[in-house]
Amino acid sequence: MTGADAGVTTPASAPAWRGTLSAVFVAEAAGVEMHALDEARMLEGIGIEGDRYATHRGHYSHLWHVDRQVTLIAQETIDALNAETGLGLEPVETRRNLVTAGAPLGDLVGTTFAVGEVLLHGGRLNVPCRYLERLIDKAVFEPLVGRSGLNCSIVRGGVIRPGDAIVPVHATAATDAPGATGAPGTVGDRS
Amino acid sequence: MTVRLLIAARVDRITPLSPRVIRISLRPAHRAAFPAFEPGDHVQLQHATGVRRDYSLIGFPVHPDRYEIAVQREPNGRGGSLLFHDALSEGDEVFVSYPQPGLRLDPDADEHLFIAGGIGVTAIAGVAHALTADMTTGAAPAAAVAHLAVRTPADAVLVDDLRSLGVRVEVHASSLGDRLDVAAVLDAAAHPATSTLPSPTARPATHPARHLAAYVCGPAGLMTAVADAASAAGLPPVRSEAFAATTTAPGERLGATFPVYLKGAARELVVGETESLLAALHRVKVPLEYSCESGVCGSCVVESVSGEIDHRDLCLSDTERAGGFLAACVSRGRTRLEIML
Repeated sequence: MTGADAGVTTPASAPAWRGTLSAVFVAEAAGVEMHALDEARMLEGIGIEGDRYATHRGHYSHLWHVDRQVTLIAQETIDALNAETGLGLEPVETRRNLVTAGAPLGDLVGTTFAVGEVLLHGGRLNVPCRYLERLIDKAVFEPLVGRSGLNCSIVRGGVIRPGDAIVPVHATAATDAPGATGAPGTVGDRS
Repeated sequence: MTVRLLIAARVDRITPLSPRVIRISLRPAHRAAFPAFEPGDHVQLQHATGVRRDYSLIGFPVHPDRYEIAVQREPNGRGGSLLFHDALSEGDEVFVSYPQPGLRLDPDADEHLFIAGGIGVTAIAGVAHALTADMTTGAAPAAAVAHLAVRTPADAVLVDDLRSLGVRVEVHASSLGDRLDVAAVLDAAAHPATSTLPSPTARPATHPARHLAAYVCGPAGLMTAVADAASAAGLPPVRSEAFAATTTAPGERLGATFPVYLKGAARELVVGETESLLAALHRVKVPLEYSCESGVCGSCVVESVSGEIDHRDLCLSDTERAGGFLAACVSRGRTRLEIML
């Protein structure tokens, strides 16, 4: 039984999409380069164990919000950005926690979905910031507008690993999830 | 622009170099090697308490598996050096920045004159590694001499490091009555045929191939004296590195008060006459990163989306300033600023 099957109610028919977790990144404190993990413990209502936003050591930690527990970005976005700009942006440089493939992140605001055994709720679209540009010395702000990823809360914690399936959760479970505002992102979207 | 990320690291070794100076060797925590660096680069070292300071890289650039710096204990400084001396042990976790561009060797010079005051020798020891590049290219090695101004002979550090790079070292200890005569040294460099002082080479000033470059790192007074003496001697502008914070006295008026709106926090604050924007942000519990507090390192740069800025930094380009970036430690608003925090 895969993590995506354990205790998750999925639509009776085959899910409309099925993605894969490509990578997991954390950073210990504000401005510190992210590093990859082979597995990560997601703490319900808090964030990723060891990440600066779970330990309140982030650049925007003074702007705590329930939806800033974990951030996601699509590998498809990174590939498209690089094809358009030639910037050579590496997934770790996006400073998002989870890199996904095959998951329509832009459509997941207000929904609950599973990443392995963990349940996430899509709170708001991520908004890029200039702080990221200054950190990595790449002009990514403009290219990321409108596709900067997804800010989520952790509805059910657990351990995730690259390779875990990402699948939608049944609609009834989604509407019951807390913090389902669907509001767009604002200043301080996690860099 | 340069990458401003910090890298998780561990203190590998701490070695005393003198009663006041320690050499700190760092290893990366999550990667096999640090980013490569150029001779003369410097890094920010962040202590576990969050305090950051800038230090020259003094190790071999070809060994990116470790970074090495030297820290002088400053009892009357801002406290950073005391942390690295008294509250740091081998094995401790720290954060070190990507290499930041620093002093550079003049690539066209065949004579190099280095002048260092106290711990300013670290910048010289760092950039001097570029002299060894001549060995790999097969070019004739450049002549180099370093004059170190220290209080006592025991305070002269990294002398062996410099000599191993082919630099002739002259130590001037003021406690022994041997105070560095900046004007005489630079005049000798400019006019070696008529001077009794040693010069990098025996070539006369009129030698068609002679190209002398001078460098200085140390207290502000020394840097000014060297620049003035070089100009008086008809030498090209001196290359220098400034680390020392230009501290302001408590209560000193820094400028008019100005209002600030934090867009992210939806909060207003007023920056007082005797505090910086950085201090005001900390006062309202916005923990903006910082290091030099002098507008040099760029750690505390924030983005303003409206308002007129009084720029007082040394780190931002015209483009960055025009884009609304400002160094919170020194720059101020002429009008209300809206900050992206």
